[in-house]
Amino acid sequence: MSTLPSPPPDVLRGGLVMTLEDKRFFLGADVAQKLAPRPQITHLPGSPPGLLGLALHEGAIVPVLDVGPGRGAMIVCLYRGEHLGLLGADSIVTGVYDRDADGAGVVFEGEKVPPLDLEALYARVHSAAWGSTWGM
Amino acid sequence: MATPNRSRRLIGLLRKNADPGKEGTAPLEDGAAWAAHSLAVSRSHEAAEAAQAIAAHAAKQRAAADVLTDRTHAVAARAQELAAGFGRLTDAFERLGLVALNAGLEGARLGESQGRALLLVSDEVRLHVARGSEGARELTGTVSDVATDVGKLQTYIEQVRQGAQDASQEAARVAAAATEAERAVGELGSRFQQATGSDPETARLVAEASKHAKALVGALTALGGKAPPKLIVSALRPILGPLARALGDPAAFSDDEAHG
Repeated sequence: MSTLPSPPPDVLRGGLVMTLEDKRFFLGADVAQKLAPRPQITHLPGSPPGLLGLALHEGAIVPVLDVGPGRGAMIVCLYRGEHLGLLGADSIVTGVYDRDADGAGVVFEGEKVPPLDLEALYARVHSAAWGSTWGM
Repeated sequence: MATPNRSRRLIGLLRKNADPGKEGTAPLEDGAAWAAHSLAVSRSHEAAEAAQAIAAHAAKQRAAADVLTDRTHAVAARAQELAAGFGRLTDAFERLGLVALNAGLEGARLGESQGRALLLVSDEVRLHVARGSEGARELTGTVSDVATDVGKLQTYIEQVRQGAQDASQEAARVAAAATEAERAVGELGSRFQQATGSDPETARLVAEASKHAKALVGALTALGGKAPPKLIVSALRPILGPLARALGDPAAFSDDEAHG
């Protein structure tokens, strides 16, 4: 937590903790760039499941991925050199947290919080065939 | 005390009433009819006045209901403005919350030592944003409840206004009917007067004389059991003698008068 006494830097990790369907996940500050109000999304016909559509963010068009049913803000991430929007998270908090034993996640309010598997989300969208929702 | 002329008139009427050979209704019966007529005129007049008063009160009530309706419309409009204002406030808190989260994210990116100030500000702002948002949500709910209550109030006031309008119309109908009844009763009196030749004043006098006569008979009956008849006749001769003569039965006291 941000109010803890200063431990060695390597045991802390900054980022945000979000809730997806009653489960908490951590996203590092190196990936999570910004939080933005829910944008107007342009849906793409035939887009793969998990891709909500496209949104305009600070003059740039970003793909928006569906991460849950929540009504929270959009998390703008920088992943593999491109910006992504994540929509559907709830109860988002930011700060610096203790790393968990694995080093990948953090400990938040005494609870071990795993990292959000952005790789899996990204892969799911990329691997799905366009037009699959048309029954092709 | 009755004047001599009035007394003579009364006596004449009583004589007429006592003569069974006369045509038409008896004055006593006329008197009862005229008394009923007078009562009917009086009551229908009162009914007309009361109905008009009710109509006036109902009109006032309707006017008051109209004012209340206008006021509740104004309150409802204010409630809508307040709800819209609280909606904007909630949006502003949400934006402020995002600013705080982004400050926290930036602080986290800078690291615990360099970003400590940002993290602290972020936490503090988020705390106040949460309180403010909660307060705004509660106020929005309260305003919404007020708007709902005002809506119900408008419905009730409309019912009252409609009721007052109905009452006013019904009262106007009653007033018209009572006025018509009063006119009809008046016409009935005129026709009765033409048919019988009697008039209300005569009937009133007859009724008065009848009342006095009944009282006299009652007093004589009561006195008869307590004193000798001769003594009673002697004592009352100065009054009853002229009365008997006026009624056309001078024989009743003629012996006594001869003695007197």
